[in-house]
Amino acid sequence: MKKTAVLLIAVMMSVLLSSCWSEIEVNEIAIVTASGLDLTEEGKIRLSLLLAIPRLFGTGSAQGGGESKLVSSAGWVVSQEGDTIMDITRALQKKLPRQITYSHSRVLIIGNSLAKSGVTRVIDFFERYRQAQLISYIAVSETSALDILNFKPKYEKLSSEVLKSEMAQNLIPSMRVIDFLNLVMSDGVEPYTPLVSITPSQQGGDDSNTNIAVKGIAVFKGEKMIGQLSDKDARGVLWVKNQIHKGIITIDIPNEPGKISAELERVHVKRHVTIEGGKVGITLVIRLNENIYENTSSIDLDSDEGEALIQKQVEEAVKLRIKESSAKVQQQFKSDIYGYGQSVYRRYPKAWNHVFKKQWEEMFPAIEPEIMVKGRIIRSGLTNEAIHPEE
Amino acid sequence: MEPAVHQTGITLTGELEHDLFLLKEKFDRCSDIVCRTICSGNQEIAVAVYLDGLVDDMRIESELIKPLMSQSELFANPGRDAQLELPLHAIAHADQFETTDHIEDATTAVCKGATAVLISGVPQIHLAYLKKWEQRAVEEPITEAVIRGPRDGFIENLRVNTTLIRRRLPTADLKMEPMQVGRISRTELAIVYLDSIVMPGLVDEIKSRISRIDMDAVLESGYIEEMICDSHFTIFPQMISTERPDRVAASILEGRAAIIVDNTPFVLIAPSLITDVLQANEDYYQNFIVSTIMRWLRLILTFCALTFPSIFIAVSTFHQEMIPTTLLLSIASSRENVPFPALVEALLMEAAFEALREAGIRLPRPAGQAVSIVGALVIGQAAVQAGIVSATLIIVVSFTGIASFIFPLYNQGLAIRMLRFPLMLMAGMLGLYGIFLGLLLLLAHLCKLRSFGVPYLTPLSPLHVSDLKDVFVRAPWTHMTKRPAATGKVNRRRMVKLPPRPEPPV
Repeated sequence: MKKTAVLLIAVMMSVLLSSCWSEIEVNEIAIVTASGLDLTEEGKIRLSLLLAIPRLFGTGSAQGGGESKLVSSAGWVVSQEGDTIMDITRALQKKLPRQITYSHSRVLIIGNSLAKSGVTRVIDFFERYRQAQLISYIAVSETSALDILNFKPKYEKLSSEVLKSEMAQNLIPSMRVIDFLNLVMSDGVEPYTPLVSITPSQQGGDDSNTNIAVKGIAVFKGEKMIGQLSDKDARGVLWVKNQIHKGIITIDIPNEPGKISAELERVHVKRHVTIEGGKVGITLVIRLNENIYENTSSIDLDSDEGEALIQKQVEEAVKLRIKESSAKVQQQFKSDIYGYGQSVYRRYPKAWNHVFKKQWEEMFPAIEPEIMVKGRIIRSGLTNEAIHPEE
Repeated sequence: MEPAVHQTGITLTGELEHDLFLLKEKFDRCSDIVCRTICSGNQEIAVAVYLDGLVDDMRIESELIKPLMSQSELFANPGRDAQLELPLHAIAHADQFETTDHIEDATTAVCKGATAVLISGVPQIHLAYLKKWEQRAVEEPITEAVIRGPRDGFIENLRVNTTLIRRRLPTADLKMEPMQVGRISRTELAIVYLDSIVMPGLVDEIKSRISRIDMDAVLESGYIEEMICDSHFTIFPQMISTERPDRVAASILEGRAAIIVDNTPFVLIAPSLITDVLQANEDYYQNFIVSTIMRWLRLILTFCALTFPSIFIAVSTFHQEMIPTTLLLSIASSRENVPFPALVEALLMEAAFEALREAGIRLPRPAGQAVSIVGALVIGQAAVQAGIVSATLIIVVSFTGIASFIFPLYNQGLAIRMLRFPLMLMAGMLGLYGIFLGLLLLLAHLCKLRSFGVPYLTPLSPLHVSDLKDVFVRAPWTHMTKRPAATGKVNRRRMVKLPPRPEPPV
């Protein structure tokens, strides 16, 4: 009897004290797939939410799709101005019949003007709110965030899906909210985010056919965006940060017509920090494997000389890329997005705290990283010689 | 003379007319009683009384009546007192012969298919067992079909059933202890076990539990199963009921005991364990790797049948963040027009599914097909198009339905199938937390259960590591050298381990 009572109490407690009464049906929620943040001219925040309209997501197989179907979007953008995000959410909620759910918002777009004025006042919400996903991607828009959310994509039904799949490809710089927050808060490293913009999908084409694409990266200093780097320079940054996982490098062969394209594989960048005479020295040791896929030159890939030549050219090309972007980052922006400072701190914590921390602002632009590239051709294709017409 | 009903039966006088009257009075208003008078000349010398349909007419004719008539000179002799103690087996070649003084015994025996022979001048009733009644042929069991394996199944006749087992285990060590239950039905049953292997104390326990049963009639082994099981308030069967002699033989070889009840093809095996739900007979006849994979499939599907609808409810109403965005969107789009909450929707469809299945079983076969067509329409297209339920839920329900068809034992599956309803309610109220709470309670309940003293979760808890090779995997026979520890305590060695494989000839 006593046992039963104890059991009963335990069961009742676990059922009644659970405070788990959060039931909400799937057709009662407004699923936010992307959120955008802008700064209005009055200095207020404008929150835009890209809501998915499930009704338009159905199979729709019977109707088939014409051109009109293609451009139709299943997204609906709502936006509201206000002082804090919670405030705006509340205001938006009043206008919506369904409960706003952030847990599927996997892309956070920050408008250009807001990024320039500082992001900490908005990003705090995403750190604290239970539904916000810290693993969602963050990006800065070249114009306003609303533009990106309003974009009508071709492949997917929502622009958030486009961005998410582009980010997941690993070809372009990407940044998650949690990493971004870490960068903002850490010493000796500055944050950056990808910079997205709406670009014509045909090179030189008009504005009617457009696509969302990552144009480069937005360089931050502290919480403020101070400039942007082009796509090419952005890749230079990724090299230094050891975030190049795959890529193509195309090299010109000196004194000869023809080019060679190599696919990079297993790129590994090791960073060595030294302090000599009060000066910080950074050495980047890059190891990479190459697969030759295109060879329009007359170089014989079978020969040792040919191979050596190509490797030298690849090395040069990599060095050049890093140096070009490095010049901009170090001289123009003076923002340590490479995290050299953090590397110094990790290697020489005491020296960093006592000496370099205060002077880092001046020291960073002066650092000239030494770059060593060790490449290796592992595959050169089945035909070792370029195809040439028979004489 | 007024013949009274006497338990002692001393009223038998040997006078044909009188004794027959006594017997006939017992069978008053029984239209199936047959009294055949056997005459010799003008003299009635004997009467054979039997119930039509329970006896073998041909044999009565040839083995009882004809020999009796040929002995007519015995009766013709007026000084026949010396021969009055006529041993009937001298004249008839019946299988079994009995003589009784009691009219009650005779009545009972006649009811069970004996032929009572009253002989003029003998104050006794001879009982000849020349039984024969209509019975089904030994067929393949419907509930436990196999691809590979014996196709014979038990039938409603106890003796045939014992034979099916005896043919598999032809040894005197195979004991079959008879018992009888039911005041009216007097149902025969047999407890079958291997004397040198059976779990100690099991047979005595079964016998004592059965002997405590005092009820009118036992029409099926389910009566006994329920009356002798350890605990009543559980949905899990504490005895296996099977139609397959090979399963019974295998279980007996593991140290369990079987109870064969007359008039039903379902034989009980005690004790039963939770792991039986995973084990099909075919596992042991097929390649062990295939069997192991099938067991895992069964394990996963068991879990699906138990929890799949409740997980769907929990995730779609409480934990939307757990679903990948695209999947959530398609679930959401299919749920757009549905007026009910997911819980109601799921309960509705699961109930409809169970109803269809029940209807399909109960209905005559031609009508059953109509039910399945209507069911396919209702459960499938129409319900979705009418906007009553969502397409996603149909997938969940049908997958759960398929999963609940895989159980090798019907009533184990029944338990799992029914348990998903409370779990769905828990999920609808408390989400995943509710599911885990429910599963925890289920686990606690299973831990408490015992089947004839053996913990229900054996060999998982208490853990018998060596027995696990017949739980999640089906180890090759060469490695299952010992009987399961829980039931095969005595005489554990099943086989001598094989010597290394022979070398191929050079």
